[in-house]
Amino acid sequence: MTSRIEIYSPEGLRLDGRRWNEVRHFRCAINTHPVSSDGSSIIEQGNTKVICNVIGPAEPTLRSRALLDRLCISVKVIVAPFSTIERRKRPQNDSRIQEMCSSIQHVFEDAVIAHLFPRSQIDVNLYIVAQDGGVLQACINATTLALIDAGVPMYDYVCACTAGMLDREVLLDMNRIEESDMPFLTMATIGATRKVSLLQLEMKVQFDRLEPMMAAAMSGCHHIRNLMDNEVRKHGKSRRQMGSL
Amino acid sequence: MPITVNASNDLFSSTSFSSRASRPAKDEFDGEDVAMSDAESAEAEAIDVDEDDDDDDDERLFSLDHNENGDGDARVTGVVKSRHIVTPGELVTADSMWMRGHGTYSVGTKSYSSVAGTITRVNKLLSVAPLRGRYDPKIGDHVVGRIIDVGTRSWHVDIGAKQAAVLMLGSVNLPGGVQRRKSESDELQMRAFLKEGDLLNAEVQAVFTDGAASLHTRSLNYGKLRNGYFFTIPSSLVVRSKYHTFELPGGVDLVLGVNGYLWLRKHTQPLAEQGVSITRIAEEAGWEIYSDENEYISVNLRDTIARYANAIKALAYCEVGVNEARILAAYEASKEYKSPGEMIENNVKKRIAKYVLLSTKG
Amino acid sequence: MPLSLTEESYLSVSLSQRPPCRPDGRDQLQFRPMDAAAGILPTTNGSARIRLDDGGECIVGVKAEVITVSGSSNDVHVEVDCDIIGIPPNSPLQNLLCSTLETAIKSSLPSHFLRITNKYRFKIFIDGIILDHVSHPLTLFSMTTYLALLDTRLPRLAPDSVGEHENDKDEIGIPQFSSDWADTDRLCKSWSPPLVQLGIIVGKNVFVDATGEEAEVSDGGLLTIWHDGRIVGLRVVKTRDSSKQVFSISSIGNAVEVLASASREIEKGLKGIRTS
Repeated sequence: MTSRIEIYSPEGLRLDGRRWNEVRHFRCAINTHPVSSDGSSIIEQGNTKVICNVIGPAEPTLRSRALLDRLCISVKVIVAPFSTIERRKRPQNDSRIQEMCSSIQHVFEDAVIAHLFPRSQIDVNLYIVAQDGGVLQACINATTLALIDAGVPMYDYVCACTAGMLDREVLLDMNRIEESDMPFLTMATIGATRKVSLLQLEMKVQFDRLEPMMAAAMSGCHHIRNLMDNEVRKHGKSRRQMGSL
Repeated sequence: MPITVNASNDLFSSTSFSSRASRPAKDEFDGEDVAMSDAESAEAEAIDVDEDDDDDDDERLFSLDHNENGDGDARVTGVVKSRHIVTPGELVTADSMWMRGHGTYSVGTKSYSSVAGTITRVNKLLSVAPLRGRYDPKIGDHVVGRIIDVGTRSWHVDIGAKQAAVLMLGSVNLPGGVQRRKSESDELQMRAFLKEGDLLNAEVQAVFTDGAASLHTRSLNYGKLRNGYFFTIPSSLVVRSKYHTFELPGGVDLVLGVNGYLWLRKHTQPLAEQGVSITRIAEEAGWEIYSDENEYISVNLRDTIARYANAIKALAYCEVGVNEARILAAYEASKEYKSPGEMIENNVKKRIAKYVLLSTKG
Repeated sequence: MPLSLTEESYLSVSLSQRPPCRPDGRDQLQFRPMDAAAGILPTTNGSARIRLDDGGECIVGVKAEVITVSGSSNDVHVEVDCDIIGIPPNSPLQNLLCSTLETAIKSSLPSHFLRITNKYRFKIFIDGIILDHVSHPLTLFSMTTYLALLDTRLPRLAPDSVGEHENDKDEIGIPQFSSDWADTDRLCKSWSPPLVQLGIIVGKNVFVDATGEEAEVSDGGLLTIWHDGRIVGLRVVKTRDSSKQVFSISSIGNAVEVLASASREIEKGLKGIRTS
């Protein structure tokens, strides 16, 4: 069991040398799978790596699942057995994975302008190829980028970040070791606003400590939104310059 | 023949992982302080994203400060660079003189972009065209489609759009000509005309409110496709023009669907030129238009078809828009390669595209 | 893959004539260009990813775990698993991919490569995800696994613990490995993994790296296992639902030669990719 001192040193340094309010190394790419999907992205947050492929909007595969007045989003998460330090094969109907799919689905059902595509379906496939904490947040961010790449109309970016509470210290964007050692929450916001579209807290935490965690997570979400936006603009410019129509 | 295995050069190249130890690489954003904000000041801070000279600050439609008065409007009607990239959630205009088109949504009098794309202004209509997206059918488009479903009086056709297109029984040529009345047995014989998997070319007759297309094949230029080979390219690369059926040198015809679905086939003379009178054309529409039999196609012709397919795919790989002139130029460029199989290599594709752009300029 | 009757007929005639004409003009032995990378996942002992130009993509991660065995065991502990998107688990296709590769690797990997001490061995888990496939994924999976195994490194025992483990008959502690990243051994120092190839047969012709549409008009497929410079295994497989699966001996013989040649070339290409 890692001792508390190591996770957050008295000088305010975390295991990887970050300060309490620094997010991990963030890297993303959009339109990574142009042939096999309508929209795609790869996100790296620290050592957590997620690939997202979006197919649609398209005809629903099962007519029965189509919604008459809006778009239907179907999310699938595949966790690679080699994504964790210990190899572990998870069955398809693993309850935690199902829960993650369901959370992501609900978030994006509201974020996408669904009434524009009645009786259509979007399939979101998420592949978690490396895990080091912040998996749900990486999935949400990757899905946002892939949907933007697919040209699916959305009200804004959906950006997610985690924040934890170590005694009385708030830590932003935690890795696996930090996540296992303290209560933390995952938050997703609608763009740079204060609207929260997802809030998940796993362990018990004292009520008065909740607000600072939420405030930190919200700043983290806004910061990540900017990082993603930069990449989308960069990509957009390079596509525009390449266009030789 | 040696096999080309290229080293990947994207986010999955081994250099992309900062290090195996737990210290993340420091890049410009890493060390940036994310201020522990009070609830009030959680609005976004302006981050200068334009690193290149392309877009000056003046030309931004809206700067992320809190002066939401009419100042933004002058810029909208004034110096707007209509190829400015906007992203979802970005304010596009607050001026009510603009009509809001696709790719935007309104909250009160303000319009925001809902996609990542470029702003287009047509008269008073302000829209945002997404950088990428599936084919959007428009009336009059000449498309190639594949039957996916056979109904009682219509077929569903895959044209690579967000929705399947509809082809009504009344919108196709029935054997026996125009004079023939539609009978009930036609409904039962739907599969005798077109069945699942069949390819056809058609024109978009109408577009429903939800965006689905309705097709027709009521001309002898349209209908079931045979004697050839099917492949696809991104629909955004197809240049819209008056005609989409071309006779290419080498005895090959091309049907260049606006939806990015293409058909290369052995050249056949259009019925109208076969010296048949108008009234007889209608009666000549016999069962052969729904035949599933190919004619004899020589080895040379198959080779030529492969050559054209590779030439067009080379243009698509390099994201060059495809039209007749460029296809002809690409075919010319391809003659340097004895076997069409040589054209699948990426460096060859780039050479062909370069030649095409140089030779079709101006 | 849906094809119209006229398309099938065009492809079928093109591929069965002598010499054949593939829709993209390739030779029977010619592969389409592919993108490959190794050493992309630091949580693994070895990893690789290969992308084909039709969108087919496979990522393979190799992980080694320590297991206990009875002293004289010469078993090779390897487990191969894969997830094919769009195909339910335990389907015939998945079983074909996993069992073929697992058997091939188990029968060719010398057991002492995985030996740590008398009591402890490495067990190798090879897990693949096939994110997309238009053509039959067997060759893609095998090539990616090959590259991932080339990339695989196994940790060495910590220098101070080697002595005590070798001499003890009953070792008490679990092996301690060196924590120095450079102190590892390549799994493939003196061994090359096997390579499985699938060729399709149309009439008397055989083709490597078949596209989805080519496989759709094939009579069947031939799977070969290549190791150490020669073909060590062969199997006839179904490449589409309604295939005849009747081949002449000569067409099989010819197919084996073609696939051997292709395997040799693929091996050369993969060995040229930089590994960690």
